[in-house]
Amino acid sequence: MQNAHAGLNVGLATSAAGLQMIRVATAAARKQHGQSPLDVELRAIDAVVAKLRSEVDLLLGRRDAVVADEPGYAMASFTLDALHSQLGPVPAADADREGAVIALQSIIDQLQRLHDADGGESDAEFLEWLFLASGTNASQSLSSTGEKAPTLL
Amino acid sequence: MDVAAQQGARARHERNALLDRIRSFSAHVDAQIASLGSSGTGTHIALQLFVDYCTAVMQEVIDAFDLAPNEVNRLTQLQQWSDHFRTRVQFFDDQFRRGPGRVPLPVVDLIENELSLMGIPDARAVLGVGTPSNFTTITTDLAAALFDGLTNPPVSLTPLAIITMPDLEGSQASWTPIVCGHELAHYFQRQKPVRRSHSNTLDKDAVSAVADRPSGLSDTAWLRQLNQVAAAWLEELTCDAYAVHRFGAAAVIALTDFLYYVSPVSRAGKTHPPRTLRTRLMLKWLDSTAGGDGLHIAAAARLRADDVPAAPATPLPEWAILLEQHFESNAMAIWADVEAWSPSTTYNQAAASHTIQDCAEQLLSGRPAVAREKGLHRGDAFTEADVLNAIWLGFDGDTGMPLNRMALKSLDLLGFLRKWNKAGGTMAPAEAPTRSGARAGALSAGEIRQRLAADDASRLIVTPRLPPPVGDASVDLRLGNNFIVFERSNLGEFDALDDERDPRAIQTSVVREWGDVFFLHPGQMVLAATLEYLVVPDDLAGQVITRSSYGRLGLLSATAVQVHPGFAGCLTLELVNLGELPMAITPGERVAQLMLWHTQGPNTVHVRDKKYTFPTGPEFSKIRGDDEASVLRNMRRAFSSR
Repeated sequence: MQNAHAGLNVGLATSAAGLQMIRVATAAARKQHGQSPLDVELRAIDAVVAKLRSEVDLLLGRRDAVVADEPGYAMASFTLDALHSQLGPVPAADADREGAVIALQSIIDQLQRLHDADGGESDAEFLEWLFLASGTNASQSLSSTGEKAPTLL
Repeated sequence: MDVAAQQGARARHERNALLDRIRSFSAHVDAQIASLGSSGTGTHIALQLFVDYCTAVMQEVIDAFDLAPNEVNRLTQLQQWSDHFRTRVQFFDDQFRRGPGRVPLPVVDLIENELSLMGIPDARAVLGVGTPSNFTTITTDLAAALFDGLTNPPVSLTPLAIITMPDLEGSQASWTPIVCGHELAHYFQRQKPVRRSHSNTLDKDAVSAVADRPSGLSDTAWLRQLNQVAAAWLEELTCDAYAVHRFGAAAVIALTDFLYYVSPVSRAGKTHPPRTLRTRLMLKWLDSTAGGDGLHIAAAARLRADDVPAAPATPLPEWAILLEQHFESNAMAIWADVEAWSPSTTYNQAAASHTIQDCAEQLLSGRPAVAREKGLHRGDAFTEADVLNAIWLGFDGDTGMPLNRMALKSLDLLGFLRKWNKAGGTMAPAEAPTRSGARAGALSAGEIRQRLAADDASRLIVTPRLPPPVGDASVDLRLGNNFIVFERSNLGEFDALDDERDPRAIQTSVVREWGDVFFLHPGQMVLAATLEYLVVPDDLAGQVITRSSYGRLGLLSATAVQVHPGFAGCLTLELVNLGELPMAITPGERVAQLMLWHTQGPNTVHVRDKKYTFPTGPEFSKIRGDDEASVLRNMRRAFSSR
């Protein structure tokens, strides 16, 4: 309806995305120390991959955007923002649709290697950093000053 | 203390504070569940999910804390858990904290019926009061949304359609097309996605050419952002189209009026189209394919379509103009998709115009509208859509009649009758009048049948007329589902003449769903009302007594048994259990009977000047308003100051 509380459902989805991203970062941290990710972390990797894939499909024009895409769109945005925050200003190549698709596809591939029992160690440090930063982006989008201004009458 | 030790101490502190918050929230929800009383409602199921979430999230926080690979990770995880929990508390606060408020049960019934019509019969409607000036619908499965990200989310066995509405509009029947049309369509769209006949992806070149793009945004990001906005607008406009499809002009005027109330300046949002676009498209759909608006029910909305003449046009940003053009050109495709999506729920004003007029006439005369009362169509049932259109048609007049109250009673009776028929109940056959010359004493069965069948001012109206047919010198009456009960208070006494004392300090109103039971304890008195709405002609007076079968069990209709000539409304029953055991009474039971007597001379008091006018349920005592109450108060003051 009009004046709908913008943060209502979006807040639930964004906080869940933040949780999934930190679980991916945790899985990557374990991998760096030769440990296997926990089941719950493997499921988080699957969930993140599914959302990023859905966004790739959309960017490639395979379907129209729908309201239910909001969580996937948000997750891809947090991830790409984190990526670009390390790389500096968005490179011209990433500014077009193909660039965004290539970046996301590369992350998806690395996540799949992380998920596999063998391999993924080489990407683990990068993925831990990337998803800690993505999770922080999600947390930041849910943060406010904590107080509202007094009513002025 | 080294850095790792400091981080460890901080992490433990944050974990314990978070767990304390979760426990506290769980206790709050538990208390709210306890205050609901009877169990098994959709609200119970929803609230219990929050309690289950608290239990699950506490365990996950503890496990994650113990298994974290390092302190930085542990602290970051705690931050994410805190966000997860906080957003759910916020969600609870927005959707459930205010409880069901004054949301009428007939609207809940109607929504569950609409869910059945759309092929989702197992879903339960959870209606509550949310923030003012906003209606919201939870479109995702509540369990999935709450437990999103947790290890073992529960499987929902009962789908819940959760809608919150403003207290003011939620309590009025006139806004029902918003809830049962637009809001419910949000839920339907997730359960049964609309098959689209058109692309909703915006033209890349047109988007690139928009001048007011936010700085620093690439072509790709800008196009993606606007396509997401287009998706949100499409969902909103689809909901509007469904509302018009289902409720016709009543939806157009209810939505337009509310949108103008909350947003006098038409603005484009990321999730919602501008108000004026929405009204323009609704009128287009109404005029071109939904049977038009020959009754001019939505006439006032036409002035709002372009903000003429009240507000100056506010220029929209370029991106919003692009989206407006996109949806103007796709408007009829949206309508066609909605018709294909929901073919069985069409409402066409042209086909129903006489019905709506009859319905409005009944509401304006102070009678709930359940079936047509005149001519060849007498007895033909109204639909909910007829009633909702009749309210807005009735608003054109200035009769002072409580239209919304009459309409709510109509919706309540239609809902009752739907359940009654589904449970195997029947309607009373048409009365066969028997001429009788007697004009004195109590009315015989034949005279009562004649009065019920009459077409003129001598008619006795009993709505609805359920079996059995009149066989004795009385009409059986059934128990309604509204009650006023006494509650414990801290008052030492109650002085009925004290104008600072309100009966609501010692009594409260409760409503039972149709099919639910009310327990009356030994010695307890409760104010109830008849299911039937009566209109008594001016030359008759009546008396209500308990049916003897109930009297033998100890149930007595205590006082105020007199029904005056010209009375219109549901009769208040002051029920007392004089038996030894708690008695279960079910709304719909035939507990009372009305006997009638002839009176002579005109009824000189206009019905609207009486104290209890057009009651549709039990009413609180208005003794403080008696004319002589102030005189008696003055006498008491004089006495005490001697």
